[in-house]
Amino acid sequence: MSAVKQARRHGRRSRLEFASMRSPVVLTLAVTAAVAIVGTARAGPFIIVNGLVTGAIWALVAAGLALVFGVMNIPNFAQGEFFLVGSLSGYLVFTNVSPRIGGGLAWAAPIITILVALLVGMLVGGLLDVVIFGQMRRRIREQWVMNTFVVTVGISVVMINGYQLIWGTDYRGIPAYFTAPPIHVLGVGIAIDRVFALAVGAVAISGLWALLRFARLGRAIRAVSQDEAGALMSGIDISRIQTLTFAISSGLAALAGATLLFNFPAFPYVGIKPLYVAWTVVILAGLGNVGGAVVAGFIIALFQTSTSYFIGSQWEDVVPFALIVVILALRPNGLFGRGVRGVWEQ
Amino acid sequence: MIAYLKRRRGLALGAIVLLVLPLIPPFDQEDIRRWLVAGALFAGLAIAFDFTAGYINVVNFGFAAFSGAGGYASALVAIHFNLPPVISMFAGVLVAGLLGLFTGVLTLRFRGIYAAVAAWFLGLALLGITRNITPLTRGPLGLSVPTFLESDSNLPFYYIALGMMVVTYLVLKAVTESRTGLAFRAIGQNMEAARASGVNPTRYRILNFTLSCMFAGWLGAFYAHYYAILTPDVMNTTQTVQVLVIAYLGGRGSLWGPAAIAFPMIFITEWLRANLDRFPGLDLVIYGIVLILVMVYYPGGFAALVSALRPQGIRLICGVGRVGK
Repeated sequence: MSAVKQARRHGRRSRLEFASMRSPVVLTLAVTAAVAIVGTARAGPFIIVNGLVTGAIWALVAAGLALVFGVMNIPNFAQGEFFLVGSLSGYLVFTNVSPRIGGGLAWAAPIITILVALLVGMLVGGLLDVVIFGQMRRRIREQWVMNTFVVTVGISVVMINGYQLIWGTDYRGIPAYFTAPPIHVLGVGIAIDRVFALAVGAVAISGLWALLRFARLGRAIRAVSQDEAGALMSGIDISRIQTLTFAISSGLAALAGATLLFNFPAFPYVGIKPLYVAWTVVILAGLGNVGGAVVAGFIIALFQTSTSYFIGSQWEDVVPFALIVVILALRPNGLFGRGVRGVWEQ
Repeated sequence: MIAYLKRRRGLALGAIVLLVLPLIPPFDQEDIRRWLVAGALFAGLAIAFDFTAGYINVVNFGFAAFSGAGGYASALVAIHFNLPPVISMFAGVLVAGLLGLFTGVLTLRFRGIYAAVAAWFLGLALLGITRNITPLTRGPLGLSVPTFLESDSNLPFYYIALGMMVVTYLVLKAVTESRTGLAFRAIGQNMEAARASGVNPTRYRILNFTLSCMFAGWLGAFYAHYYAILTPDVMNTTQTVQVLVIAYLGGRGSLWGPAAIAFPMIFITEWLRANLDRFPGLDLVIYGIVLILVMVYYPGGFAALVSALRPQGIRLICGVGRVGK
């Protein structure tokens, strides 16, 4: 047995092993940069631009997933269905509001739409947490991660098929939020809707960061994620914090769903792709790591756009999945995961 | 032999009921026999799934992909080498087993949910590959597959499926009752403690994944040669979810619980699908709600319910298998 292996077994970390644990991160970042440069050279800057736009939205969905995992230890399989909630409420609001306010206020309609979608998503998420996970918290603690995982699978099945039952399988989408002509950056025409999506992603992520960093609520959320018992002793109402966390997470997914309505029309299975991507991102970043999810969101989006350009769009999902499996084999805790084991890894 | 049957009263009784069931009136119609075939198939799949989820406590979320890969392998061998399905099935076993081995090796450093997600991504990658190599698999168009035998009746197929299910159960049950099974449980409950007691988690996890996937591939091959058509959708996550629901409702870590619950579950969903076609999706909504309710209020599932009732005489009637010994 090599010295490295022995050190690992005893929980010690030799300097050598530290280097070998860091190198996959460097390697991945280097490969990402290489893909971005080569892609841009061969295909034009739209690879980077598209990567940025989709990356911002994937980061939003994934940040919610990471947040819920970090705070509540729930691996949420139903995150895509909150994206669906967002697309549907976005569609319903926009098609009703947009014809009524015309003229100089037309720009306000998309903003109202995404805000309503955010609220609806938070409401649905909060309600689900109270009804289901609140009950579970009171009843069972053993095998929490696997049990909640299976419960979210159930929630996903119910929401997808409930949607189909009520609204059918038609596509409910809009061609675009804004009618203005595309703007040109680096010689690439970008639709205003994409600029809008990028802006929404940036604002929402900064907002989430500020909330977690500065607000009293954010501090409480971080406290619960670090140590539940300690948070309880400091007088934090854990149940309330967890409900709010779940609500914020589903709100973010719904916000993403409404923002991307021009690209992803509402239909029962619209949440599948965001779900897969969000999970890929979160695994790449390390479970429960909100900041890492944002970086990983951009990496995955870049890989998707270049795969679909250079290899073919039908391989767009296969390549990231294969890549993730390789990265996981090198770094089982994700790119930015800490060596510290959380409760969920038992 | 007699002593063995005595120890396995529940199994023997269940097997006899299942043997004569398709001959008794409401069940002797071809439509219902088709449900019975699906029931036996899903019972077998749920047993193989439970072998991983219930013992080493890793949810193999790519299960359907491994099973489907077995189906595709068997179908392609049967088509291109002109072999009878009974033989080509073993190509399915081999391919799925190798995939399971690969997954086991790859995920052996991961814990709990990471392993589940890694298996899921592997499954999705397999699904994508199957969908995209159209020259071989014809992709979403579907591959037409030779069946076991030319027959209008579902009866022979039912007995094949039942036989395969029973073999799956007996083999996996024998493994779980051996020292190996004890090691599986130890790893599933607390990996560190198991390691400290001298159990090598790596070896057992790989063994468990390989065995489970071998049976999944075998049953996947049955699927291919029974329904006579394969589309990449058989490898999709929704298929895994269906098996997962049955395994969890049946009760983890019992093997017989999932098998027992598979038949009523398939019957209920098929009945709902047949009779409530005005409400597409209602069957799956009910499916999901039942899953949530069971997981929240009675996570032990059917097996735990039966073992809770056992002292009150159920044991005398059927002497069902042991749970949580």
